[in-house]
Amino acid sequence: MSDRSNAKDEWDELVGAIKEIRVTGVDAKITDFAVVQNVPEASSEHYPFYKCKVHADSSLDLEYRVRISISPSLSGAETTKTTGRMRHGTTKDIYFAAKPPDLGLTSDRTHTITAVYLDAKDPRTGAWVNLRTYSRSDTFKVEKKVTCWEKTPHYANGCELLRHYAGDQCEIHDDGMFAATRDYNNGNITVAEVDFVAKAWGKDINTICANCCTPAPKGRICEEHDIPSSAKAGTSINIGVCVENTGKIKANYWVDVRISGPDYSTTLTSAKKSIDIGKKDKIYVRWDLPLNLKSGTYTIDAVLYA
Amino acid sequence: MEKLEEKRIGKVHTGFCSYVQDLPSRPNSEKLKDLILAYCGIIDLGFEIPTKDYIKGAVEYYKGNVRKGDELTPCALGDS
Repeated sequence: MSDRSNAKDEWDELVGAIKEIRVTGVDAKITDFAVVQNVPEASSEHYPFYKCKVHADSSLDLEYRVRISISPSLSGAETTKTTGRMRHGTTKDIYFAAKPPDLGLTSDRTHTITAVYLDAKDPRTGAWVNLRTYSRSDTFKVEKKVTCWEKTPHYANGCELLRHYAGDQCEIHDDGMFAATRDYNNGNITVAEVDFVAKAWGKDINTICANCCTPAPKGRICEEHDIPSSAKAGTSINIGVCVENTGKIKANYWVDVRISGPDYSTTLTSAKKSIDIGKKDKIYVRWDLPLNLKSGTYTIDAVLYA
Repeated sequence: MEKLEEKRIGKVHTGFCSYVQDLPSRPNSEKLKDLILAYCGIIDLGFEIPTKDYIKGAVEYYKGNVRKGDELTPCALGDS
């Protein structure tokens, strides 16, 4: 408090300062503005594209709001984020994400964050009050969407991109998706490309791009073989190997059957046999037992090919 | 050509082993008798019995001692 002499106002009334109050402004602020990454057009999920750091006031616990202006405006992009109540003296990273729709882009489109606003909620009225405005010029791109048959930034077309991350049954499993994410993080593919892979995650890529991929034949040796338990030297027996088509396409299978026993070993190759999807069948080889075959137990191993 | 799987799918018993393969589950003293006669060259069972171990092994099979029978003969009835 300071002592001041009284003075008269325009109506000749005496006015006098009774006390001087020092007002301290709210010192909340934003720092660390940064573009996180580009975002894909026709996105399958929200991708963060911009971030900043809110520093709460040094003495007040307040709720803050950060707004951004994007030019040109971007459909599907977050432009307002609230922090929730922040304890004084703390900081919080704020991320803005976008899930742009199909914009019909013919090439990547650049957007600029032109301003960032920091608001605080007045705890007495509940009204948002602007504290600061930051003029910015931070740019990011909405990348043109990847399609099945057009060239992508790193592949001849989207089909080839999907095939790269699909397994031999033309499906993109977790390992393929993780590989795509790793490649994106290493800068080997773009966000539009990784988003296209994400759209096929857990699916047969032919459901995304028709006739893109032919599954490899797949099969297994099942249990229901046709094998005589005994045989006589000098005779012939047929050995039937149970084969199941576990793949997605009808395929030709054949087997090598290796027979080995006392001082004897031979490998017999079957003819090819076509087996339908999901079916089991037996593929036969004929074993001509030599006349001088010794008494014994002969083990039979099969190798399945397709 | 793609190799899809490799697996042991079974076994085939020939000669002596074919003859004795059911002894552990169906003991048959007639078979043991015929084995001895064949060993002595009195009858022909269509296969050779080169050593006495074959007879001893057959007896073990007869008694249900499959592992011991397998040790004495070229047969592998144990894990069938």
